[in-house]
Amino acid sequence: MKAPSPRLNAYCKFHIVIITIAIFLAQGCSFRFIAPYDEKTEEAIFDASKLVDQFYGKLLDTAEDEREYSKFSEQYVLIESELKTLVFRNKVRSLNEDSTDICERILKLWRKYKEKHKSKDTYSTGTAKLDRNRFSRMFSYAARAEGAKKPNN
Amino acid sequence: MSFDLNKTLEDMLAAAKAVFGDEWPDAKDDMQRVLNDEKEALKDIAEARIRGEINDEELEEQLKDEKEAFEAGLSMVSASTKATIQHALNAASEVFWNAVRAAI
Repeated sequence: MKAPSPRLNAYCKFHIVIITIAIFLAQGCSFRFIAPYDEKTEEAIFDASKLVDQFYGKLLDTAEDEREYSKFSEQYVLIESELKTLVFRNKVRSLNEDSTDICERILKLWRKYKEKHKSKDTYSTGTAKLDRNRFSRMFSYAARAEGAKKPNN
Repeated sequence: MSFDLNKTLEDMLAAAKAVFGDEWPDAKDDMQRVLNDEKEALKDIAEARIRGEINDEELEEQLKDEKEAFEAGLSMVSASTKATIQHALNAASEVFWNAVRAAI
């Protein structure tokens, strides 16, 4: 049997290398810096943002001397649960530390304001307006962070 | 003691630019947004104090809470910058993969 020519040998080697790289790529190997976009998480951010804003809307609609904690305790618990779920949704995804951080900070402030309302048994209008605005901004950051992950964003 | 908010925010922007380095063009718009948000928030807090809507203790708490919001903003900038780099890498990978497929 005739030995393969050097030229044929180089031709075969070249194609073996190309096919090997192709197989490597086909197995979905890729470099990732950040978690992929998750539509359900983005929806959860918008839903939570709406709940918080509605909470403050109702609070501010209530006369300042009628804002006992007991009137709002159920909503506090409901919203805290939503926020904890949002943190969890982000935390279980790898390469998602930034989004997790934003949601954890939102939850932290929610709990702080809840405890303050509970201990003072009131929530002043001036403070409520500022806190509402703060949450709105933080939710916009959470939404931006998730939306940025969309392909071709 | 006077506090020049605009100058302080300009200095913060410059500091962020130095940190981001080559990624600054990708981070700039989001960083600017966070700093503008912060500027407006601090103005609102100051005005609320001046109007007597919050007292000194509440003012201090508001400023502490603004730190949380600002840090959240920085996380947002970090995420969006990483996402921009990811999209660029994905596009480059796509080009390479298409070229390999054409060569096979």
